[in-house]
Amino acid sequence: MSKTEQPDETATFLKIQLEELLEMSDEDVLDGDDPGILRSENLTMISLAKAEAGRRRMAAAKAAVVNKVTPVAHDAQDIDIDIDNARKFLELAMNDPRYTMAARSLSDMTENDIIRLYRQLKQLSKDET
Amino acid sequence: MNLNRTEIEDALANLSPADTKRIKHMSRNYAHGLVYLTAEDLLHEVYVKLLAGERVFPRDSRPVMVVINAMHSVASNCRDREDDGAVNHYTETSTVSQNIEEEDEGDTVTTVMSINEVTPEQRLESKQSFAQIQTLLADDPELQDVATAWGLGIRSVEAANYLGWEMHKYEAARKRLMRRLDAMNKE
Repeated sequence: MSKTEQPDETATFLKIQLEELLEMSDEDVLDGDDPGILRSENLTMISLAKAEAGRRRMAAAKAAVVNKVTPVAHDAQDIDIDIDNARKFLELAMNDPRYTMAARSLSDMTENDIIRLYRQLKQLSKDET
Repeated sequence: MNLNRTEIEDALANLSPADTKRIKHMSRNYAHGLVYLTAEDLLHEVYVKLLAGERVFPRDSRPVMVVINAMHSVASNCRDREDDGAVNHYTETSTVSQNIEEEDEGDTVTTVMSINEVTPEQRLESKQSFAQIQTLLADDPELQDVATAWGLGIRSVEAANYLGWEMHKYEAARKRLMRRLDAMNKE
């Protein structure tokens, strides 16, 4: 048997195994196993899965709420930005090899430009972590 | 037309014990050889996806087949990610443990690298190839014969005829083979 034939034969074997499993009588499939235990295991599985499905739906709902309020919070944060601290932060960032900034003197930039750039870099560092 | 969440829960809760065993049997088959997904994880994930409405549950399909098809799909995706993903899950443990660099000033920097216990050799062994199954069945020629027929795509009455057996002999061998295959996947 060549290497290239192997996956096909294995796949065929798996497919036939499933078809046979579905065709076999329930008695042969159970092969002496306790039906009560299997039923109880299945119900436990459903219960655990339901709890997890609920957690995921809740997390998705929370994420949707956060995404909605973020733009408002963003503007509110700007009020707290200290322009001198933002300028110092940008001076340090200019020497940081992780960031590429246009060669432009900070003294030529408006306060709005500094805040905008500061916000972008903060967001970039957040995304990196 | 698909089932809603309540109907899906009912359909899963009403699975017969034999169907539950069929599902568990196939979960072990599909999870075999995966590094990050056990058979239990696979089944749990599929139940979660169905109950969360992330996967559809066609109204006219046999519930056992819906679960098995979903497991096949989730396991295949996981296998593709493990095989082709950017992260190499199969780091050679004999050569990589930690990297110690001596700096000029004499400071020692130790870079600890994560080690995955799964070696390429183990990975190869865990891949359930048809040839390996045949080897593992070497102690029971009848089971090997049934497996050979299945590998050729021949099953049930056709396989019994192919092997020159009465159907009851084939059915008994088929039951033994299922038991052996399940035991292999549990190892």
